Amino acid sequence: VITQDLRTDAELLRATAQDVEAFGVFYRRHSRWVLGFLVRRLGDAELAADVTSEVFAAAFLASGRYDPGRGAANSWLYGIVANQLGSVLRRGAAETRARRRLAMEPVPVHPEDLAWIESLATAPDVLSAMDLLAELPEDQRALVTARVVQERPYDELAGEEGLSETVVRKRVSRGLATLRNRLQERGADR
Amino acid sequence: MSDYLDRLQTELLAAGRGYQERGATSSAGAGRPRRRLTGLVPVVVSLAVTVLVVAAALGIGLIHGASPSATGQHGRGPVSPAPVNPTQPKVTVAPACRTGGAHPGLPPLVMSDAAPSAQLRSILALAREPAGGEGAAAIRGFDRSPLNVLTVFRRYIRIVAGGRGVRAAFVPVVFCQQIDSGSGFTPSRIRITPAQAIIMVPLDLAPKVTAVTVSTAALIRSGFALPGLDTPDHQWMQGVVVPDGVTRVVMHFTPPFLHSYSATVAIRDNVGLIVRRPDYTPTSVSWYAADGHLIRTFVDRQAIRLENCLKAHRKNCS
Repeated sequence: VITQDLRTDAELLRATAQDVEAFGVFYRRHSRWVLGFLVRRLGDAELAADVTSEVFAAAFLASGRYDPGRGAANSWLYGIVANQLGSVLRRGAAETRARRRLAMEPVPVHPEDLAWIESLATAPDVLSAMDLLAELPEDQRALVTARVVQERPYDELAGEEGLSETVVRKRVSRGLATLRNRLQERGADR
Repeated sequence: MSDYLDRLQTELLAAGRGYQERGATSSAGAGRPRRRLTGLVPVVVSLAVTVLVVAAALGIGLIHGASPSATGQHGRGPVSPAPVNPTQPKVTVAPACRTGGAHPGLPPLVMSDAAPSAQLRSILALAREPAGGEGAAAIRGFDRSPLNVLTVFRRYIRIVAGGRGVRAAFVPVVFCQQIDSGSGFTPSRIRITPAQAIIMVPLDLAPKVTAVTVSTAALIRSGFALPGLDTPDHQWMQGVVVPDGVTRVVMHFTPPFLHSYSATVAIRDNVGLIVRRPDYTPTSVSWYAADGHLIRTFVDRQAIRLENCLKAHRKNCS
């Protein structure tokens, strides 16, 4: 049996207080892009792995405070990533506060992990589009990320955002059109 | 390929379980009112704003469009021990739907020979008249988890072909329905309780999934019991569930900047299936009887407003 969990991110975060596995589903949806994004930004696989640990520990602790009315869950996670990234850039090291509160053991990063994590930084398509994605308007960015990067169904996104499926499709479509145009512009610049 | 993310998940969830267990047994911090954090909020918001400025200055660009307050709310690390979150809505879960804690999973799936509820029987011949026995075999191994299906009424399953080699089973079930109450996006109360509905199980798609939309009696009466999902070839698998007397459903689409078009679905035993363009949702749905007369048309006014707005080249059409 293939167990594809179709709960929305908001539902998963809300369920986390009663069911830790729900957070596991949320983690599986988002951990790869978080790690890939961080290694691109930081240029250091080990540090990116360290920050990723802290990001998800912080997300776990804050999951009950997630309010869908303030934005999509991936935007919320972006916020945590940005916060941790800012902290790293100021301190030169990853925060450990959330992991300490969870009493979380360090997860060693092996040499083979480093190579794989580094490969995420140069993975084509999705990750290279991340920079452009970050420039999209918030409503489009969150939905394009959810739809294209995380491959989540439209109706799930519509439910999560409190929008009709038509609106979601339009926003994704507009966001992709903007991305295409910007990619073409960059291509023309080279 | 590395298993780093898997190992991190294992450690994270183990730590999370331990944290929740400690929180459940410790009175310190548990249930602490959120307003006690008030004194820390200006500091945290200030920190968040600083991070935003630093991030923007460094060209991070990640938080474009996110308000400082939103980032302050969501993006900061936790500032106070609060293992059990006080802002959670009040959740009531019926015993049959409980998972987690002392209930590691749902009870075993029941394959029942009984008929569905009177509510479904009153509007659906599908729920009154047993079908052939191939349905239960066809859905064997379907994923019950997204909808937390508890019971399958196995004698009442209909299998429908939708063209292009796509088939789906329409299955009467008892599932765990989540009912939110309260205003706004954040419900003040959530009830999770067994309810009956028709679900659509795609038979030839991989991975095997259950349609997210459940066709409860109320949704069927509303005209928009339209379970659907993407197919691997980027089409849209569109199911339809309608009450007795409807033999044909016409969905009307009015995409902006394109010609309007319609899609017709033949109905048999209350259900139908087609494969259609994935781009749009119908702005109206019409039910027709066997003699061709129009029974009723349902209009999605929100979708029509959006289309008109887009056609008028206005901004902020949502």
